[in-house]
Order: sequence, then C-alpha cells, then structure tokens
Amino acid sequence: MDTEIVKNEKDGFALLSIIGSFSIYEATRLRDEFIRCFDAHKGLILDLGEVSECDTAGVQLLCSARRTAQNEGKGFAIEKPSKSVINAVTSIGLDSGEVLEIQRLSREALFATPPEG
Amino acid sequence: MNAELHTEIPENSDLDREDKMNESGKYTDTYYQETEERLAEVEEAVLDIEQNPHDKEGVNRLFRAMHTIKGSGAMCGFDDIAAFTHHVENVLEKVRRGVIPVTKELTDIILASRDQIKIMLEAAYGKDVVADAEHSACITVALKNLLAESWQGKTIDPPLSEDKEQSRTYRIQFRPGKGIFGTGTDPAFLLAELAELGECSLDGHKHSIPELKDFEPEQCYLYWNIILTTEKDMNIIRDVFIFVEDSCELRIDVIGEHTDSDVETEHKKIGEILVERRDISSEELRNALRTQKRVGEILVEHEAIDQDAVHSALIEQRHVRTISKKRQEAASVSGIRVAADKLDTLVNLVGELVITQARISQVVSSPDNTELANPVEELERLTMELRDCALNMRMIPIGISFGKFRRLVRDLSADLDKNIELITEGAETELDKTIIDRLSDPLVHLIRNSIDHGIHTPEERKDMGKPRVGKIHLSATHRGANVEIIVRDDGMGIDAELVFAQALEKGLVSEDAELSRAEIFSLLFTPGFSTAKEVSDISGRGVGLDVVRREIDSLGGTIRISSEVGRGTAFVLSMPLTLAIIDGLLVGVGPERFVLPLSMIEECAELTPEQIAKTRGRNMTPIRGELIPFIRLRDIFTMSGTNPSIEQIVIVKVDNLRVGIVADEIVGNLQTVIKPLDRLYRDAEGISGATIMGDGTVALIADISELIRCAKD
Repeated sequence: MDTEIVKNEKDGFALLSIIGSFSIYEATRLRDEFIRCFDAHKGLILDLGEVSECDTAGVQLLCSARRTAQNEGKGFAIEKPSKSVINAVTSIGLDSGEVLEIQRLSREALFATPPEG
Repeated sequence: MNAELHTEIPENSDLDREDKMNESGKYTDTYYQETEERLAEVEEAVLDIEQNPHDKEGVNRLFRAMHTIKGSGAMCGFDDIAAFTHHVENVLEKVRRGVIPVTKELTDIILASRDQIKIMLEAAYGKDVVADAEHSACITVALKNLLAESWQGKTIDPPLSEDKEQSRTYRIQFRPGKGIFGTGTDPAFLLAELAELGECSLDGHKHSIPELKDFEPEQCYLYWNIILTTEKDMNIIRDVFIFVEDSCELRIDVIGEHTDSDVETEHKKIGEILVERRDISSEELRNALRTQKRVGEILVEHEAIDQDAVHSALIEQRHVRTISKKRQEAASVSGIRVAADKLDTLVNLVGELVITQARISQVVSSPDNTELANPVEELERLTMELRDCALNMRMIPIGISFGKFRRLVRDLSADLDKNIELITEGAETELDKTIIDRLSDPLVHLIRNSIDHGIHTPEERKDMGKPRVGKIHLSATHRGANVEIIVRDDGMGIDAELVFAQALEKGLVSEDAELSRAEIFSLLFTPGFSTAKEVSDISGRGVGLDVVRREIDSLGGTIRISSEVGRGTAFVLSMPLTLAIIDGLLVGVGPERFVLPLSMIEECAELTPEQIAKTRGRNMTPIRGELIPFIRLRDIFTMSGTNPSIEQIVIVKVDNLRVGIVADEIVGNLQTVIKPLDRLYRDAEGISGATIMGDGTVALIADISELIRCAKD
C-alpha cells in the first residue's frame, strides 16, 4: 500500500497526517514535504496515529525535523504516534519521550508558545 | 581443524583412579543426588524443545545440565559417565549454535542417552542394574553420526571458551557505515539480535543527525553504545555484525566478569567510614556533598566531553550495577542441600519439643504458677512457629515429578500410535516430600490408564468428532489443608452401566442394588475389577486401581472418579499436605484416648439408651433417616469397662460408606505430631500411629479404613 500524506493547515501550522509506512522508502518524499512545510509555515504538526510501519530511517527523519525546527525557531510536534513508531524509537535505544515528546503532545501546548517569525 | 570443542576426557588412568574413588567416596552421594536432578532437568528440557524447536533457552538448559553431569562426573571419579556424556555434550554444543537442527531423531537420541546415563549412574551407585556397554556404544555411534552429518559442507567455528557458565559484561561501540540502509540492513535488527544474547542496555546517539536540508534519507547517522551482559563468547557477539563488519566501526571490550560466586562486596566510601568513626555527623557529610559537583558535570564544564558521552557512561554504570545487584539477590536466595533423613530427625525432635511444651503448659496452668504463665505462653508460640518452619522445610513443589509424566506420555503414546499432549498446572503446589515420592506410582498408573483406555487413536478420535490430539490434564491445587490432584483426560469416559454390569457378573453387587454414579465408579477400585476388553501391557490387567486406592489411603488421602461417556474421565485425589502432623478428633474410651483423622469425619451425635434399645443388638442406628452401621472402639480393641449410658457416635465416611465409630466421650479437636509405633506394634490392626498428649499419656491414632475392614471380618 502506498503511503498517503494528508496535508492541512491550521493557525499558520502545517498539519501532516501520514497513513501507511514511514520508512526508508518514503523518506525522501517525506523529507521534501517537511522542508516545504517548514518553509511555508510557522511550524509542522505530524499526525502519526495511522503509521503502520516505521524503521530506523524513519526515526532519523523525525530527529532531523525536530533539529530543523529548533534551529529555525519553528514549531514541531508529533501527535498520536502509533505503536510501530514508538517501538521503532525504543528498539534502537532512543528515549521515546525525547524523540516523540510524548509528554507534550497537545497542540494547545504548542500554540501556547508560538514561535517567532 | 580440530573438531572437538572440549577437552577430551583422558582414558582411565589406573594410577590415580583408585585414590580418586576413595577420596571422592564421600562425594558419591552428592553426585548421585545432583545427577538425578540434572537428569530430570534434561528430560524436561528435551520435551520442551521437542514441542518448540526454537526454544533457545531450552537448548541452553539442556546443554548446561549435560555439561554439569560430565564435569562433576569426571571430578567424582565417574569417568565412564563423563566420557559418555562428553559425546552428548558435543552434539548439544552444535545444536546450541544451530548447526544441528532439533529433530525427532535428535530428541530420541538425547533421551536414550539420558536413560543410559541414569542406568550407568545407578549401576555405579551399587543399585541392582547393569549398564550395557554395547548399548552405550550404539548411542555413541548415533551421536557421532549426527556430528558427522553436521560437518558436511559446514565450517567449524573456533572453540568456545571452557567457562561458559561465567557471564561477562561487554561494552560494544557500534557505528554503522553510512550506507548500511542501502544493503537492506536496518541496525534495529542487529540490536534486537544482541538483546537476545543477554541483558542489554542500548544507548543510541542521534546528535550527528543534520537538519532536513542536509539530511540524506538513505544515510545512517545514528550510532550506538551497547552494554551487554551474557554468557556468550565474544565471537558470538561478533557474529551478529558479520554482514556489516567491513563497513562499520565496531569495538567490543570486556568491562566485567561475573561468576556465580562473585557476589561483590561494596567497599565503603570515605564519608561513610568517617561517619562510622564519629569523626563527622551524617548531617555534615550531606552538607559537604551538596557542594560537590559530579565528575560528569566537571568534565562537561571543562569542555573535555559532551553531555551525550556522560549520559552514555551513566547508562553503562547503571547496567553494571543492576547486574551486580541481581547476582547478589540470586546468591542470597540460593539454598543448601540437606539430606532428607536429617530433616526427618529435625521434624521428630520438633515433635518431641511440641509434646514437652504441651506438658509444661499443662503443669503451669495451675493457678499457683502465675509467674510462669507469660514465658510459657511465649514458649508455646515459638514452638508452634518452629514446628511450622520445620514442616515447611520438607515441602517441595509437586512439579518436580511432573517431568517424569511428560516423558511417560510421550513414550507411551508413541508406542500406541496415539497423539496425546500432557498439560500440567500448579507445578508450584507444595507437598511433603514423602507424599510426593509415594504418589508417583499411583499417578503413573492413572496416567497410563488414561493413555491406554481413555484416549483413542487420532483416526478413531476424528471419527468421533474429537480433535485428533488427545489431552491429559494433570493439575495440583491447594484446597484448605489438602492438596487436590486431578488427572483428567478428554477420552471416551467410563460407561457406568457397563461397570455395573461387570460388577454384577463378578458378583460384586446384587442385581437390585441401587447405586449412585459415584458409587458405581468406586466399584472400579475393588480388587480384581477391570473393564478393559483386552489385557494389555500397559494396564488393564485387573490389578491397579485397587493398588492405587490402597496407596492413597495409606497416605491419608482420598480418591474418586468422575466421568461422562464421550467427554472424558477425571480422577480426583485429595492428599494431606504432610504426613508428620494430623488434624484429629480426640475421643476417649475409659481412660484411653484415640485420635480419629478429622478429614474423614462427617458429624458427631449421641447414642442414647433408647436408640440402643431399638438396635436389637444389630449395631445399626438411624441417623438423619439413614441406617448407619457402627462399631464400638471398646469392642474392637477388647477393652475392659462398661459403656456409659449416653455414648458418642462419630460418623465417618469411607468409600461412600457412612459408618459410626462409638466412643465414651469426645474430648475435642487436636492438631498433633504423629509418632510411629514401635516395631513390636507395627502390625497392630486398626492403629496407624500414636501421639503423646500434654499430660504425657499416649493416644493411638485410629486407622479408620482398617477398623471398618476388621469389623466386617
């Protein structure tokens, strides 16, 4: 099944819902989409609730997106990471709290401190 | 290349063998006991891996057990056992590394080897068996054939280090090549493989991952520090990385070695010593420590390292601490081996102590001894605790004998072309060792019975609309002061009408007898009764169930059958937890005291002169509308004295038969330590033991089944 990317916008943020696989095979397409989102919006919110499969390349992409947001002063949040995403993160010895920011999931928290620019 | 993986056992060198035997004679007992346990483990593990050939832990257990049998065998002078086991171990080593697959052929050979080792062990221990050297040789050839097959087209791995039981902690620094994803390998797979080798702490480093604009999705930026504690060799760890080794940075260091004996003692820190010596107070120490910076913080401040490196080192420290703590805990719960007869002596002595304590309590209970009342009460409490503790030591989990039954089911069902699975439950249920030992034969008989008569062949079962695989459930659970053991099969069940017809034919019942289903089934326990159409090797020779019942009776237990035609049969055994104490009802006849086992008692009632007048000398009295036969203890033990005007009747139930035991008075409940009778009185009918009362007199424990039998005669 091809991975589907559903793009929306809210309050200046890009909302991407990723449905299907989040892996090395989609990584290039997703990276390009993320870059476009960061360029055109205040930040990026990823809904990963429907991700059926995630690998190490996918996890790296998430880390890269978070780093980009930090460096560019943009917002970034991951919503509802699916079990496969959480497993992919923990199985390679990364802190899921840190990578997925599970404890600060809510969009409200993100909007409460809107980034500059 | 040398194919042997372990040091060869040298041929028997006569010069020191004799000495070795003499010196190690004292270890022979220990070796015998230990090896018996190891062999039970072997059996269990083989059956486990037979069911689940991918059970790595099962293979490891099997290997370790054989390794121990070989090693201690050589040490204690059992050279032939060691030499034979050596071949088995060689094969198992290959199984462990996946070179030899787990097949029926393999498990058959390992089980045959296990049986042969057992025979060799018993022969060496002086039991009346002969170890057939030819049979050993046959098995050895089969083992060698297995090895030979495994060599074809396969390279032999370098030998593993000898001390496999020892585990090590490794630090593995792994930085995959940038192009690892391109080879189709996800590092996550390698990490998962590592985690399977032992206790593993992973620390992934992600700070090399760039921003999206510089991010190449096909490149791997992550790298890992891994701390792994395992019994596996460094080479096995390297094997995990075998396909990526050329392109990655890999460094494996041993950072700790642990053996089972190395329970590390923590050295005291300087602050603790100073507090202990009262040079400073603990408050002062805490204040001083508060101002101290951690080494990690200092180094980060000096920019010698980054936060990530400190974090990684902390993970390593935590891992090593956890491992060491686990080992300490394991060491602290490990047991010591005590001979069963020493425990018996202990229980006996405690029994004496309980009796003495009861006498002291009685003496002190008079009003002029108020000063002693408190200490004696304390003594009473301590004695009871001591008794419970001593009895507990004899308790072992029943699961120890379950392994044997799995083998029985496996072998017998194969012989009979049946497909039967044994499911066990409640292996942790504890029972007195003596009871477990003596229950073994009756349970073997019941299971054989189920395999032979209860469960049909897969084809027959299919025709009857049942699953092809038959099931036998063996379960043990606590039920109050008893343990209930159930052997249940999903076979054809027992036809109550057929049983009745056969009993009629054999003249065991009269045609007009009105029996309940339970009563009909209990006819199966009558000596000489068999419903099997053919006599077979396995059971159905007409002896058996009566023997089973006799053994259960003698252990103070009960057995009953429930069965439904077409659905299956269950044998339900209810056993006391221990043979050393008894819950009894103390009754008196004249000055004598008797203990009746409480488990058999249904109710107590009075036997009035009016009731006796109605019996017209037939020793039967109506109780709750049922005519109950009774026996007087005074009559059966031919004791002097006259019956009081109102007698007491205790109704007991044996084999669904209610019988009254008549005594002069009922004294009360009593939990007491059973003492065996002197040899002179061993054959006394109707008495199973004795107990000593608080006042120093002896009370006899009545064997109720025997009493009833005597009365019938």
